[in-house]
Amino acid sequence: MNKDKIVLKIEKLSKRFPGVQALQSIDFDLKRGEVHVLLGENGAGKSTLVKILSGSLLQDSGTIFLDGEKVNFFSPEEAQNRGIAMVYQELDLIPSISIAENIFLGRYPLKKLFGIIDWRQVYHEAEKIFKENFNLEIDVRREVKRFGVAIQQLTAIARALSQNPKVLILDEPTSALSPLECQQLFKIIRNLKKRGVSIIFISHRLKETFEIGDRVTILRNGEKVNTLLVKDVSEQDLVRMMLGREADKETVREKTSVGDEILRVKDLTKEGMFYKCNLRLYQGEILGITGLMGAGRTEFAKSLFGVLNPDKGEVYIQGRRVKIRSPKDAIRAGIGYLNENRMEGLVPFLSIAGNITLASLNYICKMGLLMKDKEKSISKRFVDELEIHPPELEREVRYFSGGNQQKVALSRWLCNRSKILILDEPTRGIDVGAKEEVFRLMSRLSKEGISIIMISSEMPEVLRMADRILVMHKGRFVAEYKRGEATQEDLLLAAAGGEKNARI
Amino acid sequence: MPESKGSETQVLTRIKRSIGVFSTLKFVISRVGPLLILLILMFFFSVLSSSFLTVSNLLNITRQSAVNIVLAVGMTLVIIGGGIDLSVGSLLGLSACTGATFVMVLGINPLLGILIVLAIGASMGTVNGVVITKGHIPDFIATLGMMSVARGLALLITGGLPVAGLPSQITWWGIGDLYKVPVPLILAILVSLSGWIILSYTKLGRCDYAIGGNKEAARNAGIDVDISKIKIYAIMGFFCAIGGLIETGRIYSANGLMGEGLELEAIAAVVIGGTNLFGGEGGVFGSIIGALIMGVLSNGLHLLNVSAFWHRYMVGLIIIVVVVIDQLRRRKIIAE
Ligand SMILES: Nc1ncnc2c1ncn2[C@@H]1O[C@H](COP(=O)(O)OP(=O)(O)OP(=O)(O)O)[C@@H](O)[C@H]1O
Ligand SMILES: [Mg+2]
Repeated sequence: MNKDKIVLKIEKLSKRFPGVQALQSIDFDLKRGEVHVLLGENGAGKSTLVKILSGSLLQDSGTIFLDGEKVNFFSPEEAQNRGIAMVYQELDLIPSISIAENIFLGRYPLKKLFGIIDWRQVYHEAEKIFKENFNLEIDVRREVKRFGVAIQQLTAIARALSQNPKVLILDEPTSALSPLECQQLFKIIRNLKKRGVSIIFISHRLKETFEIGDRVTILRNGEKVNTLLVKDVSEQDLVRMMLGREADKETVREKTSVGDEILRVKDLTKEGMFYKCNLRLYQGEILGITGLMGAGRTEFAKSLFGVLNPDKGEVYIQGRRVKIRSPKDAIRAGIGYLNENRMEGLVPFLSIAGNITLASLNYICKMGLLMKDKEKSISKRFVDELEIHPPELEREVRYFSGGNQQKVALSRWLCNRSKILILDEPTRGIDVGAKEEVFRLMSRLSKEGISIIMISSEMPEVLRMADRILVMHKGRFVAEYKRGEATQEDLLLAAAGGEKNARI
Repeated sequence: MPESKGSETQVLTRIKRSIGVFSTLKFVISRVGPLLILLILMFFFSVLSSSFLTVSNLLNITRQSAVNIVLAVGMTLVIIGGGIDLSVGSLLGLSACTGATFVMVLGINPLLGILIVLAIGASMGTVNGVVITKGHIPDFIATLGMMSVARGLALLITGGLPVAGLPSQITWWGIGDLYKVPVPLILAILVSLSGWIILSYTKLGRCDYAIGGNKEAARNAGIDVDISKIKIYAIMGFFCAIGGLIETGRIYSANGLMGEGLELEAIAAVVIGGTNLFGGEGGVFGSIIGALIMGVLSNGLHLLNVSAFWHRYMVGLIIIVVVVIDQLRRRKIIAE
């Protein structure tokens, strides 16, 4: 088998959306058995490019060759039939049906007799896929919406794998995964490579490029900057090509003086999710919480915010016991919560200005009337600071790229005047440049006396930003480190349950 | 590459390009579509009937459409919030019958009677909202129940007989003029304006869009979903009462069967107007146009001596065409 055989080739591909040139005359090719990484800032056009390849968008002009033959995909089904499988950035799972049904949707195994769906087979196969690929045993009969983003991400990957594709497109598959699952995914990718499957891989974690990439293509503002062999480039080169300028210096978080206790959680428990969680948070502190998938971090946060109701335990804010039964109570008590899944937070039909100010309606309303200019000035500030692109306040949020949507979701809480901010995977899907901006904003807020709980699987980011780090394992806090006390290895070990032979 | 393949892809490219043009066209049509349909209809009728495009007939159309406009504006608020209200026709009937009965049977002051009409509408609307939110009952089911309950009450109160002979202070709202402008038209304009202001310039309107667009997200942003929904249904009920007032004046009486079927007309107007039936997007303007389309259609067909049965047929046809266009546009957007 010829390793250098070109499976997929694109010539002069262009795509325009109202008001934005998303792709401008792109050339691109994909070799057999290679991992081709696509890099670019938020809104550079990565998702648009791969959506055209998977048949969910039509190009305005340009040609696609599959195995040397000109092809046109008018629908995702056509692309699938030709062996192209895609995992979308915004997962396209159906929340209210089971994991197994989602994996086999439209391709259910049938019983020989009568052609009815063989449900035993469906569940069995789904379990097998999870066990073999991800080394996970989960209840595949449960509805998708009952799982966190990580499992949902794996479900989408499982569905793509079950199609036995010859081209697999992964749009930011690792943004929701913790290090352990990432490694598992890379193992799968390496196996697929050996079998001659070609992979297009999109990520904002540059390190991953070097870990599994063969070649890398960089896009900027819808134009191709370059395609290079991964072994020929450095991380700085990549950043420079993505941004079109030198990278900003990493902001180092200054040591801030931490004030009085603002939040105390005592023995918070929710059966099956987390147990006897204790936590203290001080004014102006950034507290990192890290852990592996399913450790219970998100459930813990959602319980503090009133989305879930804990079974036992007490919460004190500034020494006063509070009872939080709904997000509204939480916000009134001064807590803000950025959802791990931005789609649980954003209203797609609403403009970005409307979305940014949605949790601050009381500040932008006077006697029930919206003050449009106030709404505008607040949201404009964040559009500028986080470089939300395109900077059109009235554009509906559904027309923005994934990373820009994340910036909108984040802005909502940065402007809402909460005393306590719980940010669940705040940098998910945000590019390197904007990440610095997010960190700068977080530092500034903490200097202003706002306390932040930063939940993140990105251990380097937690190590960099947090004054204190808690590690969660199977629903319990198992370790606590002060700033500078721990290394990434320490965190990983603790997150995996402290076993010497953790599965890394 | 074989020659035939090349020409085949050329054809495909051409098809694709024409799809592009077609979809832009579709986009334009669906944006100004309802207005375009209205203008075409008006042009059509004014050519066919000389009495169509006269001031008195146009005022007549507004008189006839006023109730539907008022209900459609309320229905827009409800549908944008992800709900639906099937009880509007019955609430219109109930509030009118109660008010008329109080005035005619108990002999209270007509102005007080008007207040009663409005209060009944608003409070029954509130009941809808409370049952839906606190009882965790789907909007469709709760208002379906209310549709029957309110209709039953209206019939019980009136004993199935019309309450006639109402004083002019009440009928004025349906047939009166203010400086030569029909009062129903003024009411319809006021209701439309307030609907527009609520949606565009109030906290309640913003919450309504958020709830209809993504209920979970609205809740996570600290919006009190229950209170917002209750307020919206209360406003809907209030608008039903205004509709009841207009209708009472127009037919000089109130009766238990008043307003039957108006819920469907209102929903039809909203749908024709381009508001998303699943909530989250839309506006008052389209719904008004939708209501006017139906008004013009029935007036024009009447002038042409076409059977009223055709009216229903045509409205149905327009709904289907508009919704099909809208679906095509939506599918295009989702695909992107
Ligand atoms: N459906 C749409 N309608 C209008 N504009 C769109 C649409 N989808 C994407 N865009 C615009 O096209 C540009 C490219 O978006 P794309 O999603 O490809 O970016 P991306 O490189 O994937 O970014 P990210 O890293 O944030 O996911 C952006 O400016 C975006 O606003
Ligand atoms: Mg993207």
